Amino acid sequence: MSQAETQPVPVEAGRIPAPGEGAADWLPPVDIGETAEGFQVVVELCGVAREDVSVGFHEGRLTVWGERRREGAAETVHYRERRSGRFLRAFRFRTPVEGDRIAASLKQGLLTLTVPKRRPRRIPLEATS
Amino acid sequence: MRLIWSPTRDLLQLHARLGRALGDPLVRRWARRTQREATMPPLDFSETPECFVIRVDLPGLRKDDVEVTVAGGQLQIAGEAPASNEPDATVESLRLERFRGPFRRIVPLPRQANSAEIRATLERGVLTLEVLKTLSAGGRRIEIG
Repeated sequence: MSQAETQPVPVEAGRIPAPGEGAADWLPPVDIGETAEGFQVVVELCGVAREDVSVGFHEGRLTVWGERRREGAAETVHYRERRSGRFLRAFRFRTPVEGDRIAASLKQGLLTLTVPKRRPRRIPLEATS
Repeated sequence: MRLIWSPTRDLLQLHARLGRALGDPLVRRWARRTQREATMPPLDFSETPECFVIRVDLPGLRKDDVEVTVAGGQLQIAGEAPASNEPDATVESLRLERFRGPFRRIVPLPRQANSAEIRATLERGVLTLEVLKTLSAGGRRIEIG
């Protein structure tokens, strides 16, 4: 697997962490940016495999959770600063978003979530003559 | 917002805050740099019977963004962590928790490390350095002639 490869991550509608999955050992750092079109959420998930990340959107809440496995189980550890174990972050947005159009991808240890804003629906005016 | 208490980080943050409180730009710069160099990016150090293993979290960095050098029994990892969003008038930052900017970590290598034999890989935002041990690391029995 190439390190530069972008891996799409499914965003599951209505999915929330199961009981027991909700407790987190650590909180990955996050940047959130907002544009006129939507929000971009960038989560640091170094060394996390694509199959160890879950993304769910339920009742306006976007949740990212999973597990970061430790490498080198047989090694003798001298010092350790990197976090591992179960992680979880959840977000709400200040304007309504299109929950079923959220895109997620994992690349170089960064999970990027693109969250489009919900557009106000335009009602066509009918001319009465 | 951190759930896990880290005495080192708290102390370094307090240290940086004190520097800011003093208002001296030199103190402030030094405090910020000390904080970064001491804790960012996070690093693990371990060993196997054959080699020493150093792992560093470098999210979003490509191999051309990182420089690993070895000199005088020290390993140095340096580079610049990119921001998630380019400074742009159309993007409003709502949260900025990720570390960005220049960084440098220095790792003194143990005496058995063979600095000529280092293997470096960068995958999924993790830099892994494997430093082979010199052959005599395990000790050698000297036969009495």
